[in-house]
Amino acid sequence: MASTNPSQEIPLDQATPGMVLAEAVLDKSGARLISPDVELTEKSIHALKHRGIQSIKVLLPVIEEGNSQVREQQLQRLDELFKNSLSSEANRLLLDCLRRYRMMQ
Amino acid sequence: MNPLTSKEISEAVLRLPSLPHIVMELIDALDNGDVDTNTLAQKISHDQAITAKVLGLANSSFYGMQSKVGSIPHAVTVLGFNSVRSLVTAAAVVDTFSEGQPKELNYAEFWKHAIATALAAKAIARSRGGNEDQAFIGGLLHNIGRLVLATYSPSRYQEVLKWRSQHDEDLVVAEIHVLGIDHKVAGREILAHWKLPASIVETLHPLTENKLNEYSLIASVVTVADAIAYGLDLSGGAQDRVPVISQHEWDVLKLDQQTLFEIFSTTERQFKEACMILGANAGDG
Repeated sequence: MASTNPSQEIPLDQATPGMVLAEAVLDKSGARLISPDVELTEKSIHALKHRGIQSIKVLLPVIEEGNSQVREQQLQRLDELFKNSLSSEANRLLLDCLRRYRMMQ
Repeated sequence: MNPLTSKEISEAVLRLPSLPHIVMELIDALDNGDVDTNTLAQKISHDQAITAKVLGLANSSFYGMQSKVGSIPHAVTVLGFNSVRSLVTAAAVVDTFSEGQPKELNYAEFWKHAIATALAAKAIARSRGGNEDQAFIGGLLHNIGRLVLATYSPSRYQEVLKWRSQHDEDLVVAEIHVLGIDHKVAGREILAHWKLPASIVETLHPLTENKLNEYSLIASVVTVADAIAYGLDLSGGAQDRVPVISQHEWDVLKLDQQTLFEIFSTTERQFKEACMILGANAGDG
């Protein structure tokens, strides 16, 4: 089954290993070359090019990206909150601990 | 500009609204082991606004009780008299100082930070086996001197805030620069005026290097809780900065990473609910 995550059609020459297919890739005759939800490898991208495939549909990693953005903001905010007290060793230890706590979430 | 004199601070203290009588009675009983908790529970019940908030907190994730707490005497039975006293004090103080205040101070932000500090202080005291209720009250009132200063002279306090944002400095540094004193001095005045026990007033004494042994544990708990409350970004003020924790205050608590993680998550978990019940979100949005 294809995943319900948002997907995007991209030209094959923009495909990179690690991307996940949203839809099966078919050749001109309609035969399935790769199934949906399969992670692309350098080898498979090369094989698709060889078969004359122009574009593919891949899943967008939106959820992870959203999380990492929030985390990035939280970490930046931590630096801002602590910027006047870094001369104290205790504050530096607390900051390290809060950073690890945010990374864990 | 001339620094505030002690006479001016005393005047400022007298201008603040007084706490409800029942809170003064409860505070009086803090140092007194021999109190008639039944009578006090009945007296608390007469104040409906306070009762509603105390029962709201008693039934919140704050305590995680299995069954519903239905009355103040019931709360005293299941939570203990000391916890009920902390809750009544919290409800009354936030109530008393939320209306008709000078607009110079952002009250929603002020109380959010106070409540976050109180929750963190309680969690630290719990991990150390210390007095959770004292820590909670100490945390809640650690900035109360700001209200004294802002009420006494809103325009001068406005200058403090302006100076702070211009210099991106700690609020205490700005207070000393503009007013000549910081809010801890003013805080000690008001806590003494309210006749709070020495254990609470002491949390606002400055740490002096040659008297480390006399420095109270609760004071260290409140300092670190203050820093954690800012570090978790619970009040969300643009100018918020984590104040400096001294090595002594940090070392004496011996908090390891696992304990700190638990304190962080307890504080975050209880924060929203506590603010909502205490009405500290008023003025938001």
